[in-house]
Amino acid sequence: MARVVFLLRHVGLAPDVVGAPAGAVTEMRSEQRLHAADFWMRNPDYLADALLDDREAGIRPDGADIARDILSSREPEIRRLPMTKWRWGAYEDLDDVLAPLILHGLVAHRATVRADHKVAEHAFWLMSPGVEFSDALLAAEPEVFGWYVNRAILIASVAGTTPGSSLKDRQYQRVEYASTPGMALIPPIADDVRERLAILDAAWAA
Amino acid sequence: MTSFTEAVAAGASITEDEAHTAMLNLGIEAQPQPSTPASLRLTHLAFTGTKRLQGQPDEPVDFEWDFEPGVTAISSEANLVGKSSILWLIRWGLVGARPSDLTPEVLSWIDQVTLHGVVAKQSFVVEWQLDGVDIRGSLTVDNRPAVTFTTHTAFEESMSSLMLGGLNLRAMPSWQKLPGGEGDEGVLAQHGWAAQFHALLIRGDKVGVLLGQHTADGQAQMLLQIFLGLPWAYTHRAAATALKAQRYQLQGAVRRAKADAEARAQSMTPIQDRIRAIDANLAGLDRDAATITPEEADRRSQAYATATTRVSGTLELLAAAQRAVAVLRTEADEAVKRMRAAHEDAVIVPLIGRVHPVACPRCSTGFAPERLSVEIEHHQCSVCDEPLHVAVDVAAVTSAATAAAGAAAEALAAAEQRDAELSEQHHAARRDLAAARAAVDEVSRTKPQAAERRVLEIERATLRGRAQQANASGGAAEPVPSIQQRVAEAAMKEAERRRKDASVELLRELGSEIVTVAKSFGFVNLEEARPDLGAHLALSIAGNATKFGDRTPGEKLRLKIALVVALLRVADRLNIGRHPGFLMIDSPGGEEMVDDNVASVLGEMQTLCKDMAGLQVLIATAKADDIRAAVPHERIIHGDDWGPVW
Repeated sequence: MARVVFLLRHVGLAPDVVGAPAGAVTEMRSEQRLHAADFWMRNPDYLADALLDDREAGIRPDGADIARDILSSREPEIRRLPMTKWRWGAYEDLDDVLAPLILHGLVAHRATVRADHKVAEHAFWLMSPGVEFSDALLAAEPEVFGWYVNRAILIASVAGTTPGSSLKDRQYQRVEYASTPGMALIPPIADDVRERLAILDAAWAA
Repeated sequence: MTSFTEAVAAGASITEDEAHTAMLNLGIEAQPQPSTPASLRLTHLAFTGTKRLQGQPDEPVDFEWDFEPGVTAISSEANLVGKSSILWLIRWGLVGARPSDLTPEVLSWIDQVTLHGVVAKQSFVVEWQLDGVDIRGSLTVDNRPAVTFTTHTAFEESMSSLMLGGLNLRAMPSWQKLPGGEGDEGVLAQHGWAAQFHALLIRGDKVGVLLGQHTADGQAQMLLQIFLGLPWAYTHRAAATALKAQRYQLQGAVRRAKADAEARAQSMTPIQDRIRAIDANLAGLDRDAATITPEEADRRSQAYATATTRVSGTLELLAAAQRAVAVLRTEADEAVKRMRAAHEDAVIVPLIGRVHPVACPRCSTGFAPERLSVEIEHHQCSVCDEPLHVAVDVAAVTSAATAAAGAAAEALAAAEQRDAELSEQHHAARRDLAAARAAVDEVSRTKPQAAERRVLEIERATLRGRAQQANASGGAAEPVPSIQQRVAEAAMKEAERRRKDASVELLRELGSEIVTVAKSFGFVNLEEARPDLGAHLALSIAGNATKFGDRTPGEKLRLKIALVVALLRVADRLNIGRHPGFLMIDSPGGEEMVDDNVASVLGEMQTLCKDMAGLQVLIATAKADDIRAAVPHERIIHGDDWGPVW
């Protein structure tokens, strides 16, 4: 629950002035973007790999250092919460998580239904009580919930304003991710990313 | 005076009996050779045959002549008309050996020859018939039965036996050196009658040697000593010959010993080379590796096997430990996650509990105030009507999760500790295995060396044994002179000494007589002649020292004749010597003797024959005028008109 709250708060964008409910503080348009951001939070090895991509692409000079911190602190092992792969990549039903948030007015949700009565898009907004709630969590246990804050901010810096489908496409670049069969857990890539970092360090040192 | 045998024994440092026995074996007789002169006379020569000259009809030959003591001349006014052939037929009959000087043509003309003579008062008749190369004949001495012969060798043996016995001569032993031989290499030979007859023959065409015709095998000195009647000459000759034979045997033994030594050394060379090579190989092996006993090799093999088992065991334990660590790490990680979730829930649940429901999470429809009042009034959930405030012991859950995480961490730490220990044990086992493998490898390298060393040591011991055996069996001392050689040497020295003592006066007498005779031959300026035992003749002519070899051929011929005449005179005067008083001179004047000298020689020979009763001289010469002037006609053998003699 806390993970989704902090993702919505920091990875979410500014609410659309037209469609957003009154009192919305941030807006997460599309469930895919939320799933993509949640995948990076639950799989720090994939996030470190994305940071190395950005470092190699020259987009992010501090990418290697941040990745090295993630890997050396064993986050890929102790923070990993595996996700199942479904049609469009990493997926987990958010109903159970969102239910209490929506119940208590911390998060607002709206599904856009097409003419065939199928949902075209899910949109989520963090409402003011949600912001207060996240502040209360951070105040109550800064050490416990501070990690979520920092990690959500880092993911936001990697994801930028990229739409959910594009983020999924980026995550599909890892062969382990792409080759995972449907309904199976997406495997860790921590060892591979550590080896990649060692190779890059050696190359940069030369 | 010490006997000859005693002197030899003393010289050879042996007993007299040993010396006597050795001298017998060597054929050395200790006798001074008493020289009783014996005479040889030719009394008759006859031969028949057919003379076949190209372009002329065959002419029968029927020669016959009775010889008397004194000078008999064979002469013609031309050469190559049969003078010398008469001398050669006489020589053939007296010696028994066909003279090589007879040409094959002349030989083919002769069918039969008969020769009569007297030797040491024994009359003898020898006759032989020729049929091509075959010969048959007989020798009759006095009235004794004739001895027949059918070969040239038998003919020569018959005459040699007759003459040596009759003239008190004996075959002189001689050591004939082999052409190209080393040292004293040669063969034992005998100078028999045929060789000694050279002292009875003077040839105008062969004047290089004082007496006889050549110097080979010491012939000239042998003839001089024999016919001078020199005491101890035969003993000396026999001893000298025996010494040469002994030395030759010794040289042969030395040569064989040297050859054996060289062969032995040669055969030892590869053995010694191999021994040195083995020594080097063994030294290399000793440097490279110490000996590893079989027990040590077994111990190392066992240690390697144990180390291998230990590595396998530790590796298995380590793998299990690592698997346990992996599992426990996962469990610890999961425990941490659960603990963190519990902590999160411990915060979230109370916080969320204080927030009032706003809308349906399913349809987002807001709740009416009446539904919210149910919670206050009846303590029921405004959504599902279930009782509120169900006690959830969040603290207990959090504590349990924390305890579980701690336990998992401890279990992981213990597993990691175990893993570290096993890892160390495994690494230690691997180090031990590496050391054990190195030790076994050393054995593997050393084992062939040990085997090789043993093979090399056995081979070296075998070769050393062969070398020692070869040295023991072949290391005999160099051959030393035998007792016989020492006896021969001592006998030769003693005989030499005695012969020399006996020769001084004889040689002086001979020299004096040579001067007298030579002067009568025309050597008016000859002042002194000093013959020695080596058949050399030193001369003093008109105050100048010279020697026989330096004179002209004509002078040499006259000196040769003078020597024989002097021998005869000395023998006659001193009743010593062995010359039989028979002399054949071929072609005097043919060697630059001027006519006066030929005449003087002939005159001197006539005088000599008058002085010495029984002396017989046959002279063949083409100086017919000189012959006619000096020799009675009935003593001249000549042909019609002084042409061909026969």
